[in-house]
Amino acid sequence: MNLKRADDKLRIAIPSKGALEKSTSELLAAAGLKISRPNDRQYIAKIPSLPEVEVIFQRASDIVTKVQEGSVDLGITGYDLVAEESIGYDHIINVYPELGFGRCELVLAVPESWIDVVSMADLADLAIDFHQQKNRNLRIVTKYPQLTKNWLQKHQVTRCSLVDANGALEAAPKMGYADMIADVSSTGTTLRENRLRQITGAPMLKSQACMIANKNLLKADPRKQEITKVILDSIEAHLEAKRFTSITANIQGDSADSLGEKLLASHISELVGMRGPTVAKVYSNQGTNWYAVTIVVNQSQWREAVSHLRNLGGNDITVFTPNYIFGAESRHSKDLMDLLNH
Amino acid sequence: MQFPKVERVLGAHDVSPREYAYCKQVTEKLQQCFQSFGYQPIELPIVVQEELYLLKSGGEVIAKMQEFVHQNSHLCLRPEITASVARAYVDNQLNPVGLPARFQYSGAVFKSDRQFTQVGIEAIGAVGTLADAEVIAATYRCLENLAVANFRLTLSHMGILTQFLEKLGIEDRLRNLLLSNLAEMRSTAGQDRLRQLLSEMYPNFGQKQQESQLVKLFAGQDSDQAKATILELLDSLNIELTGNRSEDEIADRLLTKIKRRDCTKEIDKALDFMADLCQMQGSTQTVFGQIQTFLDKYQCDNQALQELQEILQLLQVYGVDESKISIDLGMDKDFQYYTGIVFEVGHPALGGEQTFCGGGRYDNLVTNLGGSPTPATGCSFDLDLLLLALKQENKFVPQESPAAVLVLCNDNLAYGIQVATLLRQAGIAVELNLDTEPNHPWIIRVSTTEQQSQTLRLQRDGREQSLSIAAAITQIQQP
Repeated sequence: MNLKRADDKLRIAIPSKGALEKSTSELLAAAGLKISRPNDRQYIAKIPSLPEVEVIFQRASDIVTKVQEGSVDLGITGYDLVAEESIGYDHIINVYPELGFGRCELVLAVPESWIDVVSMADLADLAIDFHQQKNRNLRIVTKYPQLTKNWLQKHQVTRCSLVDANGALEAAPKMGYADMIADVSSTGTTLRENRLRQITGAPMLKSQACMIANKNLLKADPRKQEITKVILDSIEAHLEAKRFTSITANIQGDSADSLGEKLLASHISELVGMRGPTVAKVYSNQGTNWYAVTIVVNQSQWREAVSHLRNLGGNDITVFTPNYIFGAESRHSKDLMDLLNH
Repeated sequence: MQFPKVERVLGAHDVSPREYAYCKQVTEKLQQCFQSFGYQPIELPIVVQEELYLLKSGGEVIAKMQEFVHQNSHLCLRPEITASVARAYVDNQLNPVGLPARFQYSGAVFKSDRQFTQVGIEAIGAVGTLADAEVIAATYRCLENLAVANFRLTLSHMGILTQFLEKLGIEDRLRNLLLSNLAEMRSTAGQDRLRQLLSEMYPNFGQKQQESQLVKLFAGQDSDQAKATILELLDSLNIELTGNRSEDEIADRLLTKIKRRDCTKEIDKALDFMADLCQMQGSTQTVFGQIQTFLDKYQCDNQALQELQEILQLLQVYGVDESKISIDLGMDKDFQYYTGIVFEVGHPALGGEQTFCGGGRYDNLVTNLGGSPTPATGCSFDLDLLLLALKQENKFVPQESPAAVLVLCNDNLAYGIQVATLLRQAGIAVELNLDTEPNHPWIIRVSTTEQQSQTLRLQRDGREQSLSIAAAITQIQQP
């Protein structure tokens, strides 16, 4: 299926506009993979820190197809689109399922005035009423026909027709070409503004941005695997770092060991750092027995950690957000190899 | 430029000549066995109306069909054949010599993830355990004829659960959902999945709830009053009426819903019953030892139990080895049309989940498809899975049946064709080639020399002799 290309750069497709574009560029920049795009109309760009990579800007909705066809190796887009469009293609693999932005839910929504329709069971009954009384199927407009069909089937809703549409689906029930909609919603505002109400119960799908890959292309090229691992590792180290804060304080004490014991005696175990405090001697003109103590704590706990250090006599306390935290090995790189060898 | 390869559809597979010969042998054994019980072959369309599999009460007889819209008709590739047989029976009044009408079939069926072949039988208009026992006995005989050793025949009865759910007053949709998920109650993970599904369908399920104020409000009103109240309410809430349904429709359905008994309260009772029912599995003795206590605990009658006992007695008469039979009242079926005795045949080659044969009684299907009340029972083999089991037991050696004779005629095509035609007329399979690596039992070489004398050179096992065409035919046909 895949025609050999002249050069063997690793191609990654990212969304060309909208909120997904901004967040993706920001994420890559923060992960040390800043994109260099000569101007906004250029659809091909580079990542100077990874010269083997070519960035292709694509509409978010086309990215899954590009990866599937093999015209790009990797793609970043919404999981909702991946779940819908990768059905039936087992060579599309999800190599970074949670990039932490672009969160939304795929939901079913009915006109506000349908006060009799609350649950999936109501919807199943209503579809039969439509069939028997109006002699037609309940029409649901959606850009997600596969996911919607599977969900309806699982919940015993039959005799529905899915209507395809592009553009704003929310207006369809008002305009009359569909009875209700199945669409993504992040805050519910658009639904409310169009006088639609979500069906009660779990959403059909919870989504956020993710990175997908063409398994066949990566499998065939170990060099591409290595570059992909660098990308995964960088993103993972950055996202991991966002969760933690690094704190350094100067504390006086009898010895490094006694100070270490005092620190470990904290009643909140999370406050002593990921693996425990680092204690190092400070060579100071202002008296002896100064030690520098460094701990890395959960982002949400850094104020508590600062108090804890102060209580132990801490001074000159500096608080940093680390840029990256690398573990012994990258979890996503390991998962990638598992997916490729599966 | 090289064009990309066109791959086969996911879940479908190609059958090589070697495998084909094997499949055909097995299929013929099954068909002969069914024939010996009087089941007549029929052939039915592969593309069917989707309607055939949609239940009147909602839901599908089987989920995951390959469906499509063609010229505004909602169609699907048949996911099984029983419903088609029932449909054909209703459509054509296929009962020439009175009931029961016995049919057998063989053909491709399609689920969303795979295509496979089903070979099966249906006895339409067959009442009573005698018919159920016959279907099971025919299955058993098929397996004997194929010399399958390690199969396990499992029996159950759908009536026990349907009766209990009916007593609880559970509506059809919920009943179908519970019936088709019975086996989920075997494991904690399955129970969690089923509870999750139920809470997605019925948000009230699992919630502590007080008696609905709405029910109280409307209890004292007749339907006109109640409807007026609802319309007034809609109006006063200033809910704009958009969309394709009128105020009247909405109010009517809301009233129906309020007045219908909320059966989510009964779900927990049903789930407890189902979890207990799933425990009733094991040898016939084990289950018969426990079942009476179970039925008494839930105040169920003995009809299903009696039917199971009758079947077992009849199967004994048929010579079915009782040690091959077990009972599992937690069995659930892919198809929601079963009403009575159901059974499955499993095999170690398939693991615990899959079975290569299944069937049972479906007394309402013919009525649901527009026929007059006609009880029925039947079963079908999943040929692909049966072949897996046979292969594991090394019971059948696949064999190709290539042409017996190769005619080589590199310098005289016309005479080659003439010789091949005469041999074919005599019933011999002949391949005609100009020049090839001979790999056939018999090789015939002809050239202009042979044409002049109207002879041929016949070769077998490296020895060649010159013969007349008639003599060659006689020799090839000798056993």
